[in-house]
Amino acid sequence: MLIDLEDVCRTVGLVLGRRVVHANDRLMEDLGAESIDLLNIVVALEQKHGVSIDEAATGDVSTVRDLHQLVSRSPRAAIVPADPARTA
Amino acid sequence: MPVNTETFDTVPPAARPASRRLAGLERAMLITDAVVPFNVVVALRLDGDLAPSALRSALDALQRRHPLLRASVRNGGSKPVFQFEAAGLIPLDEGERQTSESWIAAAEEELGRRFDFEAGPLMRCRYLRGESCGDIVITFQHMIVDATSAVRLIGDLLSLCAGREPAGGGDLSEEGRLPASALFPKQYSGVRFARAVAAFMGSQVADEAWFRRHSRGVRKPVVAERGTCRILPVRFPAALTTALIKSSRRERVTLNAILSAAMMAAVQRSLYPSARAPLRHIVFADLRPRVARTVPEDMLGCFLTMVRLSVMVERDGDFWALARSIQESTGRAERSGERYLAYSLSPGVMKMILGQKSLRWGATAFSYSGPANLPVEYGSFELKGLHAFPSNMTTGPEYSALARLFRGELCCDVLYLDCDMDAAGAREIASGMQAVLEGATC
Repeated sequence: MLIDLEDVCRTVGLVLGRRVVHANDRLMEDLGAESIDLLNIVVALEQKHGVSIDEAATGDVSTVRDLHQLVSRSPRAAIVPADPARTA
Repeated sequence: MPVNTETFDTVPPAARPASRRLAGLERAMLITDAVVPFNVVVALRLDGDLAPSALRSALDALQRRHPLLRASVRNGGSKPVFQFEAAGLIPLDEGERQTSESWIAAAEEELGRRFDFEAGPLMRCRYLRGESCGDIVITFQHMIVDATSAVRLIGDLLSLCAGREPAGGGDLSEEGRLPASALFPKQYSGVRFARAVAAFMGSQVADEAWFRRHSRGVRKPVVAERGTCRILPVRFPAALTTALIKSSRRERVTLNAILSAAMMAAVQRSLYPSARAPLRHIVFADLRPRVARTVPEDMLGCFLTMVRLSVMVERDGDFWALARSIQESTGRAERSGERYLAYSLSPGVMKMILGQKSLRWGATAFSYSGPANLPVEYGSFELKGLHAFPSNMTTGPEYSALARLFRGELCCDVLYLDCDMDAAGAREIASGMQAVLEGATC
């Protein structure tokens, strides 16, 4: 899936309340993200791009660029029907 | 608060000191070790065959690479120091793996075996070899490793055992030369440090007063004269693990807070059977991303700190409210810089705890260290299980656990003392924890 790196930078900036976020910024060291911020970033990216991010893979994420690569290779999330009784 | 802006400087070899004084948390660990060995035991469960000679060679290669594996500690009264290049080879004891649970007895024994600080090294290894399987039990003195560096070291050890080059390979000559506290932000040194300490002490006194006021009539943790560390490895099934990850994202609560809440709820039901009880809880924080220079993950050293929280736990209360309360308390402690202060002040705090036994530090302690992304295949053998346990003492938590995500499952390594409960009691709490989690995610 093609996801814009700038878009991921913007999402990270919005969650962390930062105007400028660069691709090579490290989430914890440079941007000061705490574990709850990382969770919020993952959730925001999942919702925005309709993907399901693998928890095991988040352990290898250090920079915003790593995060972009992770989101780009994440599978699309299964769409849960609003009312399971009415599925075709 | 982003603080980490520089890379770890390389000090010219001539300027490297042959020794350095222990820092706050390291001294606290030494003080604790005088009462009870303060070790970290890691158990690696292998399928397949690993020749003891390959393990010996891998340990030697690791020791050549890591200065802290060649260090000892000279305990010169109030000024104990690390002495580099002073230790012998990492001991390797070989034995027979008699049953699939032999490693548990070995790990419990290792938790209670003190290191010879003066002789070093502060790591040793046992290999229980069976037919087409084996268990490696590695013991560290806690002051030379934390969760991050231990996982990297284990990955390097297994790679070397398989005849592969370790993933890192960077320069580690600076390892051990600088303690975490030397890299703390400026507001945690000098006059500003004194001001921060005063605020921290004030919050601790207020927390203690709150705890005492609300714990009237509630069972107090018992302090026995002595107790032996016992372990209980627990694995949450993949389906529950997946459900927990989904719930974590839906509720915006970290897995650390969710698992801590489940443990506290289960402990409250088993050990504090009143309608509500305030519990003390210890959470662990990684300082590596929070210091002034990048500390490589494969650089050994104890870059962690412990923060104590008090939380009201209600029997059959709202689980997610409890998890959020733990998350918020942890967040407050992080924002107020408690992680730095707790590190620096830990020798005094530890003396106080050991002196006033009624201040049993926490009823529970928990740490989720995230995914342990180690390869599983190593040629002639496979890593099928990974466990880690830190020592505890009779003035420490009644129930504690380290958890990680490994091979798609949450692995929760529980530690308790035999003076607090028997194996059935520990299992009951672990089952209660799983039941709480299943109830919260259904």
